[in-house]
Amino acid sequence: MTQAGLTRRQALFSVLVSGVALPSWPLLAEEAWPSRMIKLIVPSAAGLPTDVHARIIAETLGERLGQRVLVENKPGATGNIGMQAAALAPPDGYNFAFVIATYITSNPFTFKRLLYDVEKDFVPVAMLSKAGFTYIVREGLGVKSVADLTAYIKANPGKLSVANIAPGSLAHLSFEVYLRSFGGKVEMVPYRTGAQVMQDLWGGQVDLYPGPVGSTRQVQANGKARALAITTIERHPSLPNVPTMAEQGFPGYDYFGWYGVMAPKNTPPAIVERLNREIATIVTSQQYRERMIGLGAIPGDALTPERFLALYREEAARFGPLIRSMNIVVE
Amino acid sequence: MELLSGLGGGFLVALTPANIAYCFVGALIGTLIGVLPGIGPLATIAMLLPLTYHVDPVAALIMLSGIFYGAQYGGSTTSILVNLPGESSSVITCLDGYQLARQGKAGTALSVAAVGSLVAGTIGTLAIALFAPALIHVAEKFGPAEYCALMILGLIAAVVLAKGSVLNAVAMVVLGVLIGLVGSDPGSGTQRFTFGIFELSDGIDFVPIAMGLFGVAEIIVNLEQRHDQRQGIAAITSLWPSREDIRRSVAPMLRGTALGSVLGTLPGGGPTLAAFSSYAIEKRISTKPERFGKGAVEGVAGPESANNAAAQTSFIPMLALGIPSNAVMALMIGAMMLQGIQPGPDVMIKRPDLFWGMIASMWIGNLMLVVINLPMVGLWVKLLNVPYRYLYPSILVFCCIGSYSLQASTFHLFMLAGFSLLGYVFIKLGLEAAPFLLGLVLGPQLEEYFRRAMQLSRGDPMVFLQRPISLSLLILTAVLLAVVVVPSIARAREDTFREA
Repeated sequence: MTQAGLTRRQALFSVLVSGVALPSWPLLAEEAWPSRMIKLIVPSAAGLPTDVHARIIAETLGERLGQRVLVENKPGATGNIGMQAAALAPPDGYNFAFVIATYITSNPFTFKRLLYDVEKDFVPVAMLSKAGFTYIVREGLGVKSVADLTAYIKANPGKLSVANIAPGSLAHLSFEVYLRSFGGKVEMVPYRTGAQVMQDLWGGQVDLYPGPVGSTRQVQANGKARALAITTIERHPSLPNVPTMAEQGFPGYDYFGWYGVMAPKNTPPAIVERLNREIATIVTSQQYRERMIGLGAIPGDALTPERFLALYREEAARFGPLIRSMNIVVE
Repeated sequence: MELLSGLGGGFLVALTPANIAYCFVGALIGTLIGVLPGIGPLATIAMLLPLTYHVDPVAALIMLSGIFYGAQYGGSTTSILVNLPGESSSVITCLDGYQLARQGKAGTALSVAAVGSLVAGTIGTLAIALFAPALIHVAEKFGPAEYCALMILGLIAAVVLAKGSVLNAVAMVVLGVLIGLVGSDPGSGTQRFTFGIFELSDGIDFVPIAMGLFGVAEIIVNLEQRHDQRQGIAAITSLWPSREDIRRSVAPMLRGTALGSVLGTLPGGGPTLAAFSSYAIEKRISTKPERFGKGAVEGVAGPESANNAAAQTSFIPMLALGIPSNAVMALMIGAMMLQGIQPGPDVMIKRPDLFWGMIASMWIGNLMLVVINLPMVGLWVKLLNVPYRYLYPSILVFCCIGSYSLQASTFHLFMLAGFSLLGYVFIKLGLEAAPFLLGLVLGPQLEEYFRRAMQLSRGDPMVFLQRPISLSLLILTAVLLAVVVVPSIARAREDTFREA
């Protein structure tokens, strides 16, 4: 007992001394890092858009750091399985979580019980990119603008079938905000994948799809569907002809999903700082910007850990009450 | 003309030395992982994805697709030799393929499967080249009502599949559907039968269930025998099919190919449904249906051709629309996106080298696969001579690796153990696992499409009868059901089984 206590005191003492006597200690640790492979846990299946974003950053980070950044896919339960794995991973600077907005700003409100706690288990590293949504209607509906859409919904309450991939997703939430602005009623039809929605949109089965910007060109390519609006505050370079909601009478309308990197709590701050700087360098490069535009995203703007933290806290404060009022509960 | 110039251009792309090499590597890896139980193309392609970042996109996709259809070739091998289906589409091959192996005709089953796959692969590829644009319109006409009717047809066909009593078969299908319902409710996200276990919220993965019910349960039964001998394995009589076997296989191969080519184009329909339906058809039209389940070569030729044809044509929605028809295709779309190619209806126009190059490479790949596989038949059959005390531990290890690699979690190992036990109970009770598995695969889809169709029609069930394709499928189902249920026919059916 005594010995163990002594050892712990000694350890504490030596840390204190080294911290005081050698002010360059964090810098030394930083120079040594990374000395081996880094694991990036992705709570999504391989090949899906989330995974594609993760692999792009893993590859470029690996080149910059001179160590391989391994993508480990841990899909399941809307990110719960992977986020739990990341929360339990050793905070040694070699384990990180690739996160999307849903895990951070929606899950805590839609799930009755979560396998992780955003504030208790993680610290922010950096935001990578933002991706908005478009509202796409089937061509046969005869709706050509958001004003038309509003008029149609008002004239035919409950008649419009809206494809909804995940209850409580940001695309769903943004559309709910639009509906509430004039008390519109529609039929929300659950779908499992975007591919199913596209097929039914082209086949004239479902009327509207609030879907990712990244697949919009694909949905429109055969002329059977039309994007009415984009949900971000600015138009997207890949869809220059799709006007924003703000341009169509909804000032300040700005809804987007985002991608980011977080670290397990207690990861050495020096390592978090260093990783943040590397990511910031990558994210602000022209090459990264072009890849993001190709995927329907834009580089993120919350590039310090503090700004990233502030952003997701703000978003959680914005969506939490909305989700609660919509009564979306996953047990 | 457009087709010829397209294909010509495609062969120019596919026949460059580098692309031939990638095609060969893909086909070889595919064969290997197909043979290894539990390690499917999905896990392999996911692991190899980083290697493709710096390769030309066409070459990368040629290799990845080679892995996919190569695995379909290899997948039948373990089904036939050790009753171990690597994926859902080769479950049905276990029924007669394994029986053939037990009768000493493993070589026959393996070579029929390989040739059937070649026929199907060649015709399926031709179908892609000829009909891709036309087939796309068929796929677009398939709304939720049509999918729902298709699933009902598939489930009823599962009852026809069964060897024994209709009641048993119905019970197994229903049990499969119930197990398939475990997970999140597709509408509300409410958890069903998950007992608070998060790992269950996306449903139970198919791989540990299939390996447990078939492979491991079979091992337990075999080990009950005292000797170091598998239950009644006959000596290997012939490596190659007899003239009689070939004669009996030709028609099932062609029918299976036709069926598989059509079902493969439907996203979500795919190889599994094709294989099961082909088996049901062959058994239905056979003059001696009692031979099925006891080593009928038609029961291998039909489904193996069907699943390979479907594997080829499942590229159609992916290449022509950017719509993935299964998880592997979703991964290929991810690979395209990583290469900066936006999948969608304009890929055919914007990247003809990719579109036609891949089609041409499939032809070359299928040819390579037969060259790889036929000489191996002799080698695989020798595996049966390995003493069982060495063989079964290796099978168990591969099953465990396959289950573990799904999510890198021990959870699936417990699933494997649980379903092995269930499979043993099924065998002891004389219940069949195949209808159970079909219920498991189709049940959740049936629910999803039924609920969606009903919601889109605002609760009007007439939608299933008003749409022509859906109505035709339902009429077909009714006819099939009548054949099974109408008393005089049912009695005749029982008689045939008693005779057998």
